[in-house]
Amino acid sequence: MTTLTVILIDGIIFASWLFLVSVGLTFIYGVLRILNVAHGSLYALGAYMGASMVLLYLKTGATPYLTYFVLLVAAIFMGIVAGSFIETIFLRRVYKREEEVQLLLTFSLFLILEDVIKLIWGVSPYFADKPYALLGQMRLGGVIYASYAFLLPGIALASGAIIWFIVNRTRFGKIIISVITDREICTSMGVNVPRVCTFAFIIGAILAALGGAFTAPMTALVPGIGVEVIVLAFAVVAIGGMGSVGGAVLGSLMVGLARAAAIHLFPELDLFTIYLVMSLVLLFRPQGLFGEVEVRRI
Amino acid sequence: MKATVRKFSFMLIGSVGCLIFYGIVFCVSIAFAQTKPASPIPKAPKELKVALVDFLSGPPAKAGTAAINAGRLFIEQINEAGGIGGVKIKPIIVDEAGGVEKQVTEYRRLVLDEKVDAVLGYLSSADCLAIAPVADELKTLTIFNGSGTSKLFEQRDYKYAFRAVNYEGSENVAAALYVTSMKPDLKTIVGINQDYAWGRDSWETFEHAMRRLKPGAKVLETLWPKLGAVEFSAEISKSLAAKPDVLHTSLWAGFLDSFIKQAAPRGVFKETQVVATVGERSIVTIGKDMPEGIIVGGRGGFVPYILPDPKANAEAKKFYEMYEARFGEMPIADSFNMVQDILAMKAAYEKAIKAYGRWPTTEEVVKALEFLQFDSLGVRVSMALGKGHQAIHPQVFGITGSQRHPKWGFPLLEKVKIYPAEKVNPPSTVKHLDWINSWPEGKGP
Repeated sequence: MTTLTVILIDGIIFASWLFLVSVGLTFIYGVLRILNVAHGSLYALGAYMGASMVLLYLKTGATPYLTYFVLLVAAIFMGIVAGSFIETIFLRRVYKREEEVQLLLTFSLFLILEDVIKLIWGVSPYFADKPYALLGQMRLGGVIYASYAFLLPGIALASGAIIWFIVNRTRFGKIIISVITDREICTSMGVNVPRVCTFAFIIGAILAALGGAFTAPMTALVPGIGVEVIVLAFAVVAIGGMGSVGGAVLGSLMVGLARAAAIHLFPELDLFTIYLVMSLVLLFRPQGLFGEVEVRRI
Repeated sequence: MKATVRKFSFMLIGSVGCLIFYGIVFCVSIAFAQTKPASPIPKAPKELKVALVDFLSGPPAKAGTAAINAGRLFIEQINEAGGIGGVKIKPIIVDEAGGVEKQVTEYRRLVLDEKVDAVLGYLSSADCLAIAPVADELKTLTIFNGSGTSKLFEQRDYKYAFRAVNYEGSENVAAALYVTSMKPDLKTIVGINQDYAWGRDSWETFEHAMRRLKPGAKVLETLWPKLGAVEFSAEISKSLAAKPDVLHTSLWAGFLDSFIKQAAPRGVFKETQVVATVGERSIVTIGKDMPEGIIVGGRGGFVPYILPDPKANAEAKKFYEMYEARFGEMPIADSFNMVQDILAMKAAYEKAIKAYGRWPTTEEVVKALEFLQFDSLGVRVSMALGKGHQAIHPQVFGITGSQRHPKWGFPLLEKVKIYPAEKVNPPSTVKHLDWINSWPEGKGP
């Protein structure tokens, strides 16, 4: 029972992290139908900006408990700045182009942003672990956990709830659904589709940066942290279904629990757990769990 | 009359033009004569092109940049002193990031297009295993340093590939000797190592050594996080649940930093004796927040200010001072790894030049490097293993303490032990695991 408890806790913590790093990607695909490889860079930018702002804030000597708010502000700031820049300058030009062109563009952006991060923050590891250590520890299932780890499920739930609220309970959400369904009709009915796309991309960028910002206190920030995240995010999104936030929730949970079970029970399988889950799901449901089969319009 | 004037004008213009042309040719010849090599060695080339390869991007960028910086600086010093046999070295820097296939392609480009004379470096064990056969295929002197897999020279012989720095065998034997001396009553062990050649080889050596040194010790768990993973909460939970006496890890650079940052608040370092075989980089990058009581070794056996020791060797002292003045930070193990590669190459060229009295061929340099012994900033290096292709030299281990370096602030190691090369390496004809298995039970080499 203790092992089962620990597997459940570890699985949920990892699943929360996976959801945070993948929800932005699936949201952007859902609205803009673009597979954004630069998602990894947005995550990394959020992480570095979060760490930098936390370190700056701590130098002022103010209460360290506000560092969590600082991380949130950093993520929103980076999401708005980077998201609006990328969408208006680059992505807007390729919405009507082939998917290969869109993929190449976002991949190029990813490579460029990786080097931009190195230019700004250098190659030495960045540490902003005060928020991680501040909340202390708790013992569950016979194992000590850093209490910060339980912040992640909370943030993941809040992000998911906010997205759900925006899409289902706001006028903007209704417009987004309309744009997803048929852009041309929306344009003819007077919707400013480019502006909607920009806002939607910014929301996705904020989500990506949020994942990075709240991961920053847990890890050493080094160049290339975005690469690993892209692979994981794509796998989760493929499992859940491209464009489905609910699918990202379920995909994250499946992978998180499977990985935790593998580490505790079959450590040799750790390396490819996520891909095993992805393969099994795609074998029986190629569009992902909640993905929609693309209907060809004539 | 007009024709005569025209003819005379043409002759004048032509003569002046010829004079200008010959003047230019004369000046260019003089300039060219000035750039001819000053080397008195017959058949010496104009320059020695050497590629330095290490990570300049990605998670290992800090380690790779330290290596490349040290390589550039050391080559400048050599060139200022006249180069090798009077020939200046021209470094060509290459980023090791991008994966194995990309590195093999890049290696071919260096040799076939850039026509380099030697290639030094490679931090990743995966890269060195792929590059070594290509080095033999293209007949190019290649000296590895940072990559530590024991598979390199124990599974196959190479002619043109060398490694001028200790490999994981030395590190993990030393780790086993050190931890059993520090914690003689240990009974249980857990391993957390990355699932690729480096991690697998490191654990295999450590486990074999521990089985001989502590036959009653039990391995509770072996965990294999993916190379690239920076989130270790599940592995830490598993380790805490197992409650081992010793936790062995070959995690390195940013990966180890993340592990330490995640593990420290969860009390891992209080509950378990952690052995980080290449933890030296982390004591420098994490600095004053590095937890006490972690057993730490350095990649290639180097730990700054311990080995090489600036107090014991004037060349080492000069290198530390120049590196710190140039880059505003201290050198780390990777810096010394690259310097050692350059010194190996230099020693081999000088030995061959002395033997043949002229600039040697690559094959002659390769022959000179086999089984060579040379000094590296006060460290005695011997190319004793792998049929003369794998270096051995002393290995340092210590435990992180409460004292801090007065200038750089990182925690100083306590209870430092410097293991002689012969203590942590097998005889030249024996594979390291076979050597370990031959130890008397309960005793070391």
